[in-house]
Amino acid sequence: MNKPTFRTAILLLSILIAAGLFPASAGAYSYGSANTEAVAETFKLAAGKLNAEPPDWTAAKAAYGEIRSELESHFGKDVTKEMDDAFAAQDKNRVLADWKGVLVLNLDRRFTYAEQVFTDYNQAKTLLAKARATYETLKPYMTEQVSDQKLAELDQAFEDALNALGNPGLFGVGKKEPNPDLFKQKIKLIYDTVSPLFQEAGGGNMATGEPGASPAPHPPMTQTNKTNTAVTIGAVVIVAAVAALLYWRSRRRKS
Amino acid sequence: MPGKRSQIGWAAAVVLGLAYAVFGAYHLSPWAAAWDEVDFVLALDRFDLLAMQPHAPGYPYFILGGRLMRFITEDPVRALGLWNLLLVCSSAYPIYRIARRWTAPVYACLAVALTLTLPMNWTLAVRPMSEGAALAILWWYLWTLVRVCEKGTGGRWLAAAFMFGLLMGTRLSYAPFGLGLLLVWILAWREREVSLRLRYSRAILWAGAAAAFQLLWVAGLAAAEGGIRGTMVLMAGFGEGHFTQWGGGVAQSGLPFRERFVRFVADNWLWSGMSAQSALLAVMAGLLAIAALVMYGKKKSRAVAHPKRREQMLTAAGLIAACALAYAVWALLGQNIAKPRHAAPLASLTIFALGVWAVRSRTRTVTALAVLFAAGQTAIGAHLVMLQHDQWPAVYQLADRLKDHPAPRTVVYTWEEERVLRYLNVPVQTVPIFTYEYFMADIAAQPSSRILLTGSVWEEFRRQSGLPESKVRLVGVFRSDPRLDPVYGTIPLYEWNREQ
Repeated sequence: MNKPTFRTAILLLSILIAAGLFPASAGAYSYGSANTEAVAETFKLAAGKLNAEPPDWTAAKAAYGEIRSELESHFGKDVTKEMDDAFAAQDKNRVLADWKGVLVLNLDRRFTYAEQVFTDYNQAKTLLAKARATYETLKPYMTEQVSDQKLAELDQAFEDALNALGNPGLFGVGKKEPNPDLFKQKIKLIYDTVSPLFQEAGGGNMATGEPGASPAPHPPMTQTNKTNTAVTIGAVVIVAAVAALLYWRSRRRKS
Repeated sequence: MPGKRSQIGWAAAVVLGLAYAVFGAYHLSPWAAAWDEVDFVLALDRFDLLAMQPHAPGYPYFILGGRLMRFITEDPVRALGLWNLLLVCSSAYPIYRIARRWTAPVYACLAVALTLTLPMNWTLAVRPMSEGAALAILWWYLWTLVRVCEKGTGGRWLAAAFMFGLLMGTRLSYAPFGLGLLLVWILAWREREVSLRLRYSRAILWAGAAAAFQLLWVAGLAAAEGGIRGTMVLMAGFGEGHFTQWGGGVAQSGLPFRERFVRFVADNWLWSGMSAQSALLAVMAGLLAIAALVMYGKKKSRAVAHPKRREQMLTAAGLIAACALAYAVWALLGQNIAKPRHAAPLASLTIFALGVWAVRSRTRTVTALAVLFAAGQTAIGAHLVMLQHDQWPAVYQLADRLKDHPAPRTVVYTWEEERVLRYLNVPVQTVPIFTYEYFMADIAAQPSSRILLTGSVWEEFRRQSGLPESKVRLVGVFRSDPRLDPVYGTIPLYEWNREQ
C-alpha cells in the first residue's frame, strides 16, 4: 500500500462523511420516547393554554383541531360534537371535563386492543405503553380524590400488566412466559379505578365505564404516520444501496 | 531479550495489572445515579426498549455481559461495573500490542499503564455505563484493524469485523470508528498485484462478513422486541427526538459552533477527559510533551527504523488517526456536549499517543518524566475512583431527603433526575416536566398538594416566563463532584409558593 493512496482515501472519506453523514445524524442521540400518546399530549397543551389568564382559546382550539378527525374516527361523532359545542360555548371546565372523558375512552381503547393482540408481544406492549401515557396525563386530576397508596397501587398494576405480557428475552436470556389472565385482571383493576373518577365528565355521556364498549371502526395501531416512518426508512436504505451499486459500477467501467 | 531482568519486569507488570483489577473490583460504583445508568441497570432484569430499559439502540452485548456477571454478584449495578472492569483489564493486551508497533516492551507497558489509569476513563471502567466496556472493545478492535491493514488475510479481516460487531452491539455511538474498516476494505480492493477475480470475491465476502456480524446483534435486538417491524417503528420514534430539549441540560444544542468547539476540545477532551480537571495533571502532561519535543529537536541522529517497519508504524498511526478524527467530528456535532464522557475515546487515544511518542525520544529525562506522570495520574485516578465509590451522588441525597419527609400528596417536578428517583422508589409522586404552562395546569388540578421542584425545572420556568424569586422557597441543595455527575452534580430543591 503506498502512502499517497492512503492519504487520498482518508481525505476523500473525511470530506464525504463530514459533508453527508454528520449533519443528518446530529441530534439523533436523545432521549426520544416512542410511547407518547397524541390525545394525551394535545390535552396537556390545551389544558396549559386554557389555564392561562385569560385562557388562550385560539391555541387550545388549534390543538383540538389537530386531533379532531382522529377522535371522530375512534370514538364516534357524538364525542366530537359534544367537544365542538363546548369549544363554541368557550366553557373551559366543560372542554377540560370532556377531554378527560376522551382520555378515559382512550384508555379503554388501548386496553381493549392490547388484550386483543395479546399474543403479539410488540404491539401489545406498545398499546399498553400508550395506555400508560394516557393514565399519567390523567394522574394530576386524580390525586385530590385518590390516596397516595391507591396511586402507587395503580402504578404497580401497570408494571404487573407489562410483566404479564412475558418477554422474549435477549438472545433467549431472560425469557418469560406471558400470563393473559393476570394481564386482564390488572388492566381491569386500572380501568375500574380510573373511569369512575371522571364519570361526571363530558356532560354525562362520554366515559360510559364499560370496558370494551367503545366504537371501533379502526384496527389497533392506526396511527399510519408511525408505520410510514418505518417504510420511509426502508425505502431510503434500499435507494441508497441501489445508488451505491450504480456508482460502483460506473466507476468500474471508467477505470 | 530473555533474561532475569526481563523476567522481573514481566512479573512486576503482572502484579501491577492484578492490583489494578483487585482495586477496581473493590471500588465498583454502587450507584445508578444518571438516566442512562438506570436504563442499563433495569435492563438486567427486564430488557425492554420501549420502556427505555435500556434506551435505543439497545446496547445488547453490554446488557448480556452484565447478565453474565450476575452469576458473580446479585447487585445489577455492580454486575455492569464488573463487566466493564473485566473488559478494561483485558484491553491491556491490545493496547500493549499496538504500542509494540513503536516501542520496546517496557515502554509499551508504560503506555498501557498511562491509558488504563486515565482518571475519568478509570471511573467509567467501574460504573454501570456502557462506555467502560466500549472503550475496552474499541482497543481490541483497533488492534485487529491494524493487523488486517498490515496483512490482508481473510482470518484477520474476520477478527476485525467481529470486533466491530461487538463494538457496535455495545455502543453504537462509536460507529465512526468503522471508517477504519472501510479504509482497509478499499485499500484491499485497490491492491494492484492481486488478480481481479480475487479482488472481487474478497470485496464481496469481506463486506458480507462485516454485515453479518452487525446483523447478529440487530437480529437479537429485534427478537427481544418481538419483531423487526415493531423495532423499526420504535427506533423511528426514538429518532424523532421528542425529548431533545431534555438531553441538553446546561449546554443546549443551540450553542454557537465556536463555543461548542472550544468547549468540546478544551473542556471535555483535554481538561476533563485528559486531566480530570486537575491542574497538576495538566501541567505534567504539558511538561512531558514539551520535554519530548525538545529532545526530538536536539537529537539529530535518532535510531532510524527499517523502511518496512517505518511503513508499518505509519500505517497504524494513520489508520487510528483517521478513525479518531471521524469520531471527533461526530462527537463534536452529534453528541450531547454537556457530558464529557463522549470524549472518552479521544482522551484515551491521546494519552496513548502522547505516552508512546514521548518515550520514543529515548532519553532518560523524558522516560523519568513519563514514569512520574504515570504515577501522579494513578494517584489522582485512584483517588477519584474511591471518591466515586464513597460519595453519595447529589440525586441520591435528594431521594434520601424525599424519603425523610413522606408528606402525603407531595409532587416533585424534575428533569432527568426523575428516572433515578423512580428507580429509588421515593415515596412521593415524581413528574418530569419542561413546559411552564403544563406545570401550571397540573398544579391547578391539585390544590392541596405540596409542590416541589428541582433546580433545573425552576431555572427553565424562569427562563420561560420570568417568575420572581418569591415564587419558591429553597428547601435544600444537594452536591456531589461535578466530574462524576456532570449536569446533575448540584441539585437545589425548591418548594412552590402558591400564595405569591
